[in-house]
Amino acid sequence: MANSNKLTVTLRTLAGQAAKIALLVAAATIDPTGTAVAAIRSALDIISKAKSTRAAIKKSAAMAVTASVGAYEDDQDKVDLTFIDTNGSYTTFKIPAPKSAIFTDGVNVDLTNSLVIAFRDWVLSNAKSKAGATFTALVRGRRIRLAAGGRA
Amino acid sequence: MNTQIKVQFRDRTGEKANSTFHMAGTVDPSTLTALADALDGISDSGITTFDAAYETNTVVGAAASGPYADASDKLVLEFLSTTGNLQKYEIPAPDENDFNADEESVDLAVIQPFIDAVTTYCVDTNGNALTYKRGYRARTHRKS
Repeated sequence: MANSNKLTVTLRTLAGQAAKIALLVAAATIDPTGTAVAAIRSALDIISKAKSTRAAIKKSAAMAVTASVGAYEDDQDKVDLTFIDTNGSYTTFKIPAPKSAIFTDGVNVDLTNSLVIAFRDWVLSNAKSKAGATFTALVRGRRIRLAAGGRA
Repeated sequence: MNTQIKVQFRDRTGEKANSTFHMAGTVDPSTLTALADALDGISDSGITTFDAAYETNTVVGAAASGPYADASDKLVLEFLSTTGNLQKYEIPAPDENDFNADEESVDLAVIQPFIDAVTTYCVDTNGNALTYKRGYRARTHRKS
């Protein structure tokens, strides 16, 4: 658990030049529209001729999931899992080193596999498209391999 | 407000990969154990980190002209943490009123709101509080 989060405020001058200021804020501060960030941006506005156009916070969390042995264990092996959202748009998640058990023939994903269903359900319940739309279904899964530098 | 979650993977040889998810609201990445479990179910890769990014594009203030209204003109403000770590902030296009008549040293009364914001809300990398040390004008024009 980090002791601080990085807040980056983007400023633009009247001539359109951009500059960024990075500040560390408390680990509990994650909302760039919250009180702390608003106070910092307002204070910047007092001392700078530039306007503040964007505020972004980054927070990292360590995960202790260890790699395991498998037929497609190389991170350049991927499974493309394509979802459709309420706007009718498609989003493909590329997951590296797919487990061999999720494929019917080493290429096509078995959409009825319980491991695939668990991932699908997490996405349907929690993830959004870039446009903020809710996903409605997993429509296709397929294994791909990025050629450059991969192990044979 | 959306949260972008970038999942950092590493396979058994240490090779990196990542996948990105978007979620509604401000989501603390340390709470996403269900996503880690779901990914672990379909991937042989290890998962090292969830990096969350939160962003707002609302505008605060208005850009104005002035003698130092160039992004390479800076007001430099230095703060020290309780453990002695230096935090230096370079504010672009400083307002001329930030400085005393010598145009180099800062007018503490003018910059006090920023000092108050930093000492109230900002910390060093270890989470320690900050106190104001000094401020001055700097210019970082690149050579053409």
